[in-house]
Formats: sequence, C-alpha cells, structure tokens
Amino acid sequence: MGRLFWKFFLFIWLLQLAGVGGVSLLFWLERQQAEAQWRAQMARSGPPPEPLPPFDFARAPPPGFAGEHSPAPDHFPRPPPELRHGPRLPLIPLLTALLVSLASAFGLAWYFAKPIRQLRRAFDAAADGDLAVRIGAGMGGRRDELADLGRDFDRMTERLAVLVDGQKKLLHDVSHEMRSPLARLQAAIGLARQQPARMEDSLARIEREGERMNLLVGELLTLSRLEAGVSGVLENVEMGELLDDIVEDARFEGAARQVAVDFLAGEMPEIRANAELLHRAIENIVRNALRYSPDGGTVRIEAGRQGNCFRLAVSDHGPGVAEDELAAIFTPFFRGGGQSGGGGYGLGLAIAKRVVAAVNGKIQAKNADAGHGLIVEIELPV
Amino acid sequence: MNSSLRILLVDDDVELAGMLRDYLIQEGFAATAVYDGEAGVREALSGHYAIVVLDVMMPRISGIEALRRIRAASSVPVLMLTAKGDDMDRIVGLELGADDYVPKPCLPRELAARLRAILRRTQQLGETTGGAPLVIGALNVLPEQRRVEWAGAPVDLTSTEFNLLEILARNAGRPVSKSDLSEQALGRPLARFDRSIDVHLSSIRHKLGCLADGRSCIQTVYRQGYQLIRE
Repeated sequence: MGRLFWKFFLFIWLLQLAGVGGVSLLFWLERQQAEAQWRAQMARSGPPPEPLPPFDFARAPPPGFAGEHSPAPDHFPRPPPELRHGPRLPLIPLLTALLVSLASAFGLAWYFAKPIRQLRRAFDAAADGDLAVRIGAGMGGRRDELADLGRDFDRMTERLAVLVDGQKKLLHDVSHEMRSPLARLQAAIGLARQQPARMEDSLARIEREGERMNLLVGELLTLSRLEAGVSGVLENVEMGELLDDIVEDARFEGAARQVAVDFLAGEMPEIRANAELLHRAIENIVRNALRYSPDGGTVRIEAGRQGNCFRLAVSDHGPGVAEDELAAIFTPFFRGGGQSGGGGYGLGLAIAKRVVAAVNGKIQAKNADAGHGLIVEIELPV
Repeated sequence: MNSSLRILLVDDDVELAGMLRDYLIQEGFAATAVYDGEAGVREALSGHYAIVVLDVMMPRISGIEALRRIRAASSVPVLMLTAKGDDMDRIVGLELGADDYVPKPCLPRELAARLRAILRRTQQLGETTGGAPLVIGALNVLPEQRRVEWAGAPVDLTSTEFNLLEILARNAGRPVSKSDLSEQALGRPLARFDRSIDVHLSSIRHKLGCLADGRSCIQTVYRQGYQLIRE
C-alpha cells in the first residue's frame, strides 16, 4: 500500500463521513423543529394526539444515501415514548455507517491505486533495462484510461526494445566490419616488416585499407544522421541532370569490366529533396547493380514520371537475391548468402532506403522474372 | 618444400588470405589459401596439410560448421581465427576440437609463431620425450603412435588433447598447473581469463571413461591445476 492509496482512502473516507454527518445533522434539526411544533400544538389543544409513528429504517432511506457505499444512519429514530425528551446518539447506525464507509473508501482507493502501482513497478523494471516487461495482462478486463495507459506503456517498451536491439546489432556489425580492414592493415604491416623490398606495395595496401576505413566511417555517419531524422536542406532537384551525372559515372566505372549501362529516360520532373543525399542514394543502387553484374553484362536504368510520382528501376543480370532475403537487403551490413561483392560494406542500400523514406518515397527489390538479376525500384512523390 | 609445413588457410577475405599466404611462404611454410568453408573442408580432408587455419566468420558455411565437418572425419590440427571478444565462438570451437585460436585481427608474426608452436608439439613431442607407453589404471598412452586407449578401446583425441593428456600421464598422481599445461601443450603462456585448457580438459574427460567409483580420472585440484589420478 503506497502513499497514494492512503491519500485516496483518507480523502474518500473523510468525504463520506462529512456527508453522513451533514445529512444526519439536517435530519436531526428537522426533527427538533417538528418536535417543538408538536409540543406547542399539544400545549394549545387539550388531549395529546397520536404520537408520530416510529421511523421505518428499512423503507425510507433519505436522498443522497441510496448508494451501496453508505446506507447511512442518517436520522435519529424517533425515541421511544419514555425517553422522548432529550434526543440520544443512535450508536448502532452510526457505527454501521462508519464501517461501511470505511470499507467502501478502502475499496475505491484500492481500485484506483492498484493499476498505478502496477504501472510504477513496470516503469521501474523498464528503467532498470528490462524492456520485456508488459502490463497488459495485469490490467485484467479493465477498460478505462488507466488500462489505456498500460497499453501505451506496452507499446512503448515494445518499440524501444526493437530500437535498442537494432542499435546493438548495428554496433556489433560495425565492430565486426572494422575488423576486416584492420586485419588487412596488420597483415600489410607484417609483410612490410618481413619484406622491405616490397615496401612500396605494402604501403599502398596500408593506404588503401586506411581509405576503406575512412569510407566506412563516413557511410556510418551518414546513416546515423539519416536515422536521427537529419535529412539536409530540401531543394528542387532536376532529376534529368542528376541521373545523367550518375549514368556517366556508372558507364565509366563499368567500362573497366565491359559492363554496359542502358539508360531509358522518360519525362523528367523536379523533385523536392536534398540533392546530395538523393544523388548518393541512386548512385548506391546503381553501383550495387554494377558490382553484382558479371563481366560484359548490362545494367539497365529506367526512369520517368508516372502519374504524380517519379519512378526509377535499376536492373542487373547478377545472381539476384533469395526471395526471403529481398526485404533484408536494405538493412545495414546485410550480406547475401554469397561472398561479399568486394569493396562494399553493405551500407549503400540501407542509406538509399532512408533517403527515399525521408522524402516519403518507396523503395523495393525484386528478382527479374526471366532468369537471373535483381531489380531495385524507387518511387518518389513529385 | 617440406610437407610437414603445409598450411591451409581458409578465409573469405581474399585479400587478407593472400597477404597471410605471402607472409607465411616467406616464413618458410608452404601455404595454400581457399576462400570458402566448403572448399576448406574438402581441402582439409585431403590429407595434404599439416595444419588448417580456419576463419570463424565466413558466409554460407561458418568456420564452426566447417570445423565440425573436418572433425567428423579427421584429427588434423586446426587453428581458429576468432573475432576478439567473441568468447562463445572461441569456446564452441575448442569444444568441437580446435587445437587453439588466434584473435583476429592479429599480427602475421603472431600467427606464424602460433602455427610453429602447434606444428612443433604435434610432430616432435613424442620423439623428444621418449616413446615408452604410459599405463595408468585403465588408461594407456602410446606416445610413439600418438594414440590413447581406455580399457583396451582406442580413444579419439585431437592432437592438443593428446598433448595435454600425455603431460598429465607423465605426471600422474601429481597436480600440473594450468600455466605449465599451457606452456607445454599449447606452446604459449597462459593468458589471463583464458579458458582453453579447461575446455580441452573437459572434452578429454568426456572422451575417457570413469573410474570404478564413478569419478573422472582427471581431477581439478583447487588453485593448483589438474591431476591424473594414479590407481
């Protein structure tokens, strides 16, 4: 029983006592008056009239005491004839009233205080880091604001647990991901010590690994900014210009492995977004397609306005992705069942997804109908 | 090149495996690298290699699964590359019969030293310490053949487990400290919080039978180490 319970209890009980007392006083005064009148009348007229019938407790509860909480001893029974002068305290009804109001105050206070106590325990547990705590069941069949509060709490802990788990996983993945370039760095240093003749080669490797770690950290920062809801300055982005740029870069990059880039451009609208982030998102998707394309393959980019949205589809002829992993390729550090595609960290598509979501767009991946290949589609509102 | 120095590197990081291979070749080993678990298992079971270096984090078949498949058919020494701080992988690996582990990232020098230690003790321990069979109760240790029998039946031990048991057998009736076991059987000083020796001994206990009174023949001696009971 906490303080709140006792506060409720005392408050309700005192209120009831006051009510009972007040009503009793009223009745007593009325009775006094009636008796005074009766005496006066008797003094004027000769023979005394029939005495007032004794009050019937059971039949006529006074108004205001009809509830179950207080069948109160709200009036004085008419004193027996021999004691009619000088009214006396009706002990038994008063005692009953006291007990009943005590019980009802206790019950009410408990009814309010119990769910609050439950909530407090749950908050305590959550504060100590236990996000598995739920109160829904403890509320029983209650349907009121307190039960709603409990449900809201459950929703909150559920969401928090998912977020915290996500962050934990990300941290774990990041430390694992940092390990590969570090391991290569150490191997390169070992080689440099062992074979000073190949120092230049080893230094180039060390430089490359350093650059990779730098890139990884940069991508992580972008991702965490996007997750924090920082999506940069919005401007009207000319999609035609943006895509020409990306396609040109992709053609240059693909040329080394004879990967062709087909660009089918439709009507190019302007889109309100952060140009740099949108550029990076689409570039990531195209790069990903290039990376998984076989030598001499083709990456196909289709883009254009459709109704009131802008649609972009990038397809490759790579190995595709298992159907049950299609949604997962947008999570950070996801690697398909195969080997790492080389160079990438598995953050590109995760960044793309968040950029697209930031401008209320949609992104999805599917396998090509005919044979191999992955298609990544973006829809952006114009 | 000396076939006893043939090393199989299994790591999905092509570049890293290439560099380690270069380094080890320069150090006088005959190193070969393969880049996924399946090829690793196939090569390891070919019998061409004196030792296998196995990365735990690999796509498709993890190092742990590869180790399980290798141990199902062979007792070739296996050195695991485990992520630092990932104690679960380490313990599971040792339980599955890995001979030792090196945390990754590691300096290639450290890897080479660890490989030498394992190779030295698997190839020379029996010769240098004398080959007479050691008989302790139902246990029969045959150092020349690197074999162990319990009540006449052969026991299948990995080479690290054999080394540990041989040391305990040579000191039967006396406790041997964990740091001595580590120095002599693993060829390296005992690291703080290192549970390798305990894990290895626990799997030896499982493989050997019990004494007549139901106790294990290897007893933990509080704060002193382990002791093989002489009967």
